[in-house]
Amino acid sequence: MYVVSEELRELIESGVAVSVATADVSGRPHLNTAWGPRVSPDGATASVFIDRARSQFTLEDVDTTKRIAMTVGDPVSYRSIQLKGTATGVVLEPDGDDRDWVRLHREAFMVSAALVGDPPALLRNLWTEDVVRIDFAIEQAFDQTPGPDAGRPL
Amino acid sequence: MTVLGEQVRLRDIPTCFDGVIPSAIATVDSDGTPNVTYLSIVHRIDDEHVALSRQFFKKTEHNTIVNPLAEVGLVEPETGRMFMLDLEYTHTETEGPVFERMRTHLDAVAAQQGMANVFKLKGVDICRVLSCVMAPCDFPEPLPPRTPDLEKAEAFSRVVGDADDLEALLHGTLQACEELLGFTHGFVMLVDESGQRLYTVASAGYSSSGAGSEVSAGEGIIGLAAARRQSVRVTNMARDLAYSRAAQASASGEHAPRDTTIPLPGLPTVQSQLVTPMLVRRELVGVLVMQSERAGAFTAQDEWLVGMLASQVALAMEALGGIERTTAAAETSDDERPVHVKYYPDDESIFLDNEYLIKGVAGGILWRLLREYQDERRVEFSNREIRLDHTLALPDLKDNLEARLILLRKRLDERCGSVIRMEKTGRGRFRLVVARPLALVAAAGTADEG
Repeated sequence: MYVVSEELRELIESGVAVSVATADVSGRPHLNTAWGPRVSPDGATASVFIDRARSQFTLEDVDTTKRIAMTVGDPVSYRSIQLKGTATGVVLEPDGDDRDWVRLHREAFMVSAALVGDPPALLRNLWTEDVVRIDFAIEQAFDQTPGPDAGRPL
Repeated sequence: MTVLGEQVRLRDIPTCFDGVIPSAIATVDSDGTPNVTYLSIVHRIDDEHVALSRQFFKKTEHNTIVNPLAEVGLVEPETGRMFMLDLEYTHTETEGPVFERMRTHLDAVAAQQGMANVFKLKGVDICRVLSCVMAPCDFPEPLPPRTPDLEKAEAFSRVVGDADDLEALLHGTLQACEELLGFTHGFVMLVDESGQRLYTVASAGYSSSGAGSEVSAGEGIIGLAAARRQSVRVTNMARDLAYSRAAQASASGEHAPRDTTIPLPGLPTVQSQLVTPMLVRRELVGVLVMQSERAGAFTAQDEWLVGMLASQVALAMEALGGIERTTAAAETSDDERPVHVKYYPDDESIFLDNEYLIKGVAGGILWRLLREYQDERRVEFSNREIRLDHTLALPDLKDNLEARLILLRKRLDERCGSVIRMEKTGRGRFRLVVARPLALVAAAGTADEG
């Protein structure tokens, strides 16, 4: 078990780019863009949302192997961290609060990405409206910031 | 994500490989634990193979050895469409053309911050593409392909062929880049006699021409392209800078100081840059630099086209090398306030009223012209007599003389056009126009240009 500090929570819940990886039983990796990363109040679990239209393989992996990795990176500073853990649940119909959370994250991400020159038209096509939520217990955290320390356990 | 759908040929999504938007890569360890990180370059080798830069990601490196499967997400910069590549690692290359190309790109990113070591490319991982499919999205339509206008390309060939002096050739080149490709900001730098420095001789689309600004071979993106004789295309400078700053902070790397007396032509917020070496028989004669404030402004297709233009211009420059003629006459003005011209022989720098003007070969030429003006009131000169003047003790100028004169003329226009300027009077001839009396002083030491 790994407990996320307040300082890391601040990064994770900011306008970061988010990717998740899962694996099927044969060891085939599946990548997905994700939104609205959120750490539980006790810092031990996290939630993240993926587009329903792109969710098939990720959800199948979460159901079978349960292993999940999530990397968040600030588009402006490039500071990045990766959380690894085990999926504890899937919410196929997130409620209004969840949807608001995702919307706020996407808005914050748009601002960060625009700062490094990404046009809004491009950014808008990175997601679809409908999302599903994955919850996972955090077991490990790594520094993924580019540089010689990339991959260092936190 | 692995999506079901129609297979996409890599050649049909070339801009996904331009590095405008970072790509994520997912791999899996032998115990089934997934890993996800970001890649700086995914290079398309052909429709069945890509190369991934191996720099920092130790875990990805380990995972691809124990389990060769990986999934990479590529974002098309113009549309935001995402393509999922399922890959199988085959081998790592630490030399060869693919490695060199990716190394130059990474070094260019580093060069922007003057940090050469942090970005050392350890190798490039060659992967077989098992599948490439577009992820579902709200706007799945591609943009219409941009095709080069061959009629305009032919017109450019004629401009190059018709140019009867270097200035017309370089002016025509920058104009063609605007008309043919829509690139409105560009400049040409030529190699000096040492072969180690480049100086700006023509530019278009900038508030200041930057004429006379210099870089050393190997210094920055321009110097790197020159030193490696390889074009360098930067597609998202803001991201690259952010990336290199992050790596720098992580490695506590150090900034290398920049040392240019005259600033290079530049846009306030350059996002894309294309630096193309001009080569004749593999010899570097200069570089053609294109800039844009838009990310992803220069595509692989642009790189090829500009490469063709650059080769043609280089050959035309060589052909023009011998053009020169002769003559002489007079003109002055009667403003009585003298201009103090100070010349430092060590580096041949010239200061006008204590303000730096120019140095090196062009400085030496100007000093010679001003002395002749002062001593003999001569104002008409020819390129040829300068070429033949052994008192100048200049290095073997060859094709560079004319370029030096263009540079000198531009620099005079910019800095002191109302006092001293050079007017072209015919092919290989020019007139010195001096509007005020001159006080010439040859100093003993070297100038401190601060």
